[in-house]
Formats: sequence, structure tokens, C-alpha cells
Amino acid sequence: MTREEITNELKDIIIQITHKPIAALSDGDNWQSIGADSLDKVQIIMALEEKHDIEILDEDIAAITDMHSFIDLLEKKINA
Amino acid sequence: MTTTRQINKVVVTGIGMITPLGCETEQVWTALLNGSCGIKTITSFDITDFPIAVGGEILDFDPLAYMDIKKVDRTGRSAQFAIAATKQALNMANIDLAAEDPDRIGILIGTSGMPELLGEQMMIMKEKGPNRVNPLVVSRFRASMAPSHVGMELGVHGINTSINSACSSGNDAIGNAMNHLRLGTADIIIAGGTGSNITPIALATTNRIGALSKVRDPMAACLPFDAARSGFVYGDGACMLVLETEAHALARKAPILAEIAGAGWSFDAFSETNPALEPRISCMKWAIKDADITPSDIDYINAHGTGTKQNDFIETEAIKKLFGTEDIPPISSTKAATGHLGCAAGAVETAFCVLAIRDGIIPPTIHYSTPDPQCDLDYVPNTARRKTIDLCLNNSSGLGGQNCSLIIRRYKNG
Repeated sequence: MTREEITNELKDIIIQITHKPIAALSDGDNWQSIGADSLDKVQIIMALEEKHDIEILDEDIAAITDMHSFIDLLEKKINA
Repeated sequence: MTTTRQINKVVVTGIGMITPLGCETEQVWTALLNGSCGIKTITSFDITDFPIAVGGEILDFDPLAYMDIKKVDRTGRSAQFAIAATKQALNMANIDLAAEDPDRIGILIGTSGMPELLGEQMMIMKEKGPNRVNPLVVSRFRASMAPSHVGMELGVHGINTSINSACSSGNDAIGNAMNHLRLGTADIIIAGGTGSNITPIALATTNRIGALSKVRDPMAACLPFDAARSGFVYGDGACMLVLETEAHALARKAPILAEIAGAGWSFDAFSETNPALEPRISCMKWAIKDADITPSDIDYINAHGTGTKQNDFIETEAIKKLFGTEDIPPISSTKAATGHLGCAAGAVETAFCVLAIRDGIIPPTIHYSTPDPQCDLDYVPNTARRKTIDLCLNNSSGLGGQNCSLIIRRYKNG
């Protein structure tokens, strides 16, 4: 998957789980700015794990500082 | 050193309910008095080869009418019922939360949570591993989350807890709330019960202990005090009552519906499934003593009246022994119309007592046709009855032996 495809998919999943509209996802966005609390965060990650049959470890999650680093991680896991 | 503490009188100022007879208090009350029955053939899952075919399902409840989509995601159905009933009750009580001290408003709910949700997750865990279980299940299944979600919705910070004493839970929550208010723990406590009972696992397990009616005709399955009774029928729903100290209600010129005048508790210490006679009597006695009345003062009894052979016989015997040579007032079981709402049953039936006092009418025991020589009291068969009611006794008993009776009194100032 391209980075753009991953970004769009992530945006759709975020909207589906947070029920909050997002026009576009920018690299500088973080969990707070997209309106996701800790339960949303776990659900978003689980939805991606299920969809792509990947595993995102607790240490991976702890290293996510913003959407840029999250998309980096997803790119690596999905395309591995 | 002893200290003297003022005991506050506790009044009811609002009622909200979601039941198989409707999703709004006056609608439910009218249907009950008209002899309607909320028990129907179950449609939420396939009952073709299932031993239980009927229940008091709620098919027209829309949680989005009471909470946003995010709250719907994070709540189990029983917490959703409780939130809806609470908002209705606050509306009836004319409470402006912005004008109240949130530290002085509490929530007490009788609930068993939604343990069946754990079953689904256990299957997922077995198949896919522990990291694939749904993180929202904690927020949905725990009994403590019903009061937690209600408290979050209202933004109130007073006492917030769940109570479980099986089918006594609703009365238990109201009785405990009454005592908290008497002692000044809060000014307002929204108390009641909630239950999402009609699930395959709840019916299958309760059926295995022989408590449920296997009759597949919805109009013949729940027959309290009738010779043909064959077990109870589950219903879904919630009822929440706004309880306040009299002083607080008077200060805000609230519409006072009735007083919660007393509560009694007892425990059978006898059997997991069979009721015991003496504790049933003592439970009613404690409630009557607490309200400082005598049995002969009681105008109406809302019975636990489940429709099981054992309960209805033991409850009848207990009432006879309580009253002795005194006249026994009319008794009815509203479970014939609503089904047995489990942890919500006592709360719904307390609300019916409040409304019976308000309107001077006793709700009937519907579907009654064949008298049982062992249950030979006046059960207000099939038709509501006009009567001035000043004092009601409401009985609840739980599987496992917990009993709780409440006294509901016509409100008099002072």
C-alpha cells in the first residue's frame, strides 16, 4: 500500500471510531488533536491489526508521537 | 459520647422507565392499567429449537434519543436503559442540573452488568489470542459501569455505586438510597435498577434450574398466583426514581409524588433456589417497623409474584402470617404484564406503587383464571381496581435468598 492509501484508510477508521469528522489527516496531528481518547486509540490500532493481519506491539504504540510516526509504523508493518 | 443526627424524610419527585409495556412512564402505566401484556414471542434470536420462547423484549428503544453515538458505543444495553430512564426521571422531577450542587447528587443502580458480553470475548480470546479482545467490553459489561455511565452523562459527583442482590436489586438500591438520604450523604439520589435479561445464555442457564416458564404462548406463560403457573418470564428494562430529601424538594418547589417511608431486608440462608418462609415474613416486618406503621395500615401490596410454584405459595403464606387475624389488603403481581425485569423489577414495581397512590388505582394481575387453593388471597385479577391508597408494601426477593421490602407512603407535608 502506498503512504497515501494508508493515510486515507487511517483517516476513515479514525472517523468511524471517534465519530468526529476529519477533513484531512496531517502528519502533525496527534491522538488529542484528532479527538481520540485512550479507548479510541486501542480500537483504532485493533481495527488496523484485524484488517491487515498485523501485530502492533505495546512498545510500538508507546513510540507513536504523532500521525507521521504512526503512518511510518503502519507502512513498515503492512508492507513487510 | 453520642451525637444526635437528624433523619431526613425521603420523597420521590421523578420516575423514568423503559419496559416491555413502553418506553415512557405514563405510557407504561396506562398500558398496565388497561391490562396490556408486554410478553411476546422472542424475536431477537432464533427460538425454533430453544427451550424458552417468550419474554418481555423491548423492540422500540432508541438509545440515540438519550445519548450520543459515542456513549452508545461504550455502553451495554442495560446501562443505556438506565441512562434513558434517568433522563426521563430528571425531566419529570423538573431538575435543572446546572442549578444543583453536583457533589450532592448520587446514583445507585441495581444491576448485574452484562456478563454475557464476556462470553463472546472468551471465544475470541481462545481463537485469536488475548490481544484481540474488544477493549470496550470493560466499559460495557461491568455492573459498576451502569452508575458510572449515568454519572458521567449527568456530570454529578456524589455517591455512585451498583448493588446486586439478584431480583431484589431494584428495591435494594432504593432502600439504600433512602438511608443515604436520611443520613445526609446527598440531597438527591437517582436510584433504581436495570436489566438486559433476554439473552440466550441468561435464558439457557436460568432454564436449567427450572425457574422459567417453558410455555410458548405469550399470554399463558406468566401466571402469578394461578394454579396453572409454570415459572417466570424474563423481561428487559430499567426504572430510575429521583429521590430527594424532603427539605431539598420543598426548597426547589418540586412536584412530590410520594414518600419512601421504610425498607426492610432479610436473607434466607437456606437454598440457592428455594425460598424460605420466615425470612420473607421478617423482611416485611422490618420494613413496616422502619416506616413506623402496622400491617393493617397497608392499602396495597405489590407482590414479588413471579409465577413460580414456590415463590407465589411462600409469599402468600408469608403475607398471611404477617397479617394474622387482620384483613389482608389487595395484592397484585405486575410481572404478568411486564415480565420479570430482574435487577430492575423492584424499581419498576416501586414506581407502580407511587403511581397507584397518585391515581388511586391498583394495577391488576392479568391472565389470572384458575384459583390455586394454596394461593387464596385477593390478587386483583385481570382488572384494575379503584381504591384510595395511602400506603403500599412492595416485596422483592432474589434467587439466592436476598429479600427487600419497601414501604411507599402518600406524601404529607411535615
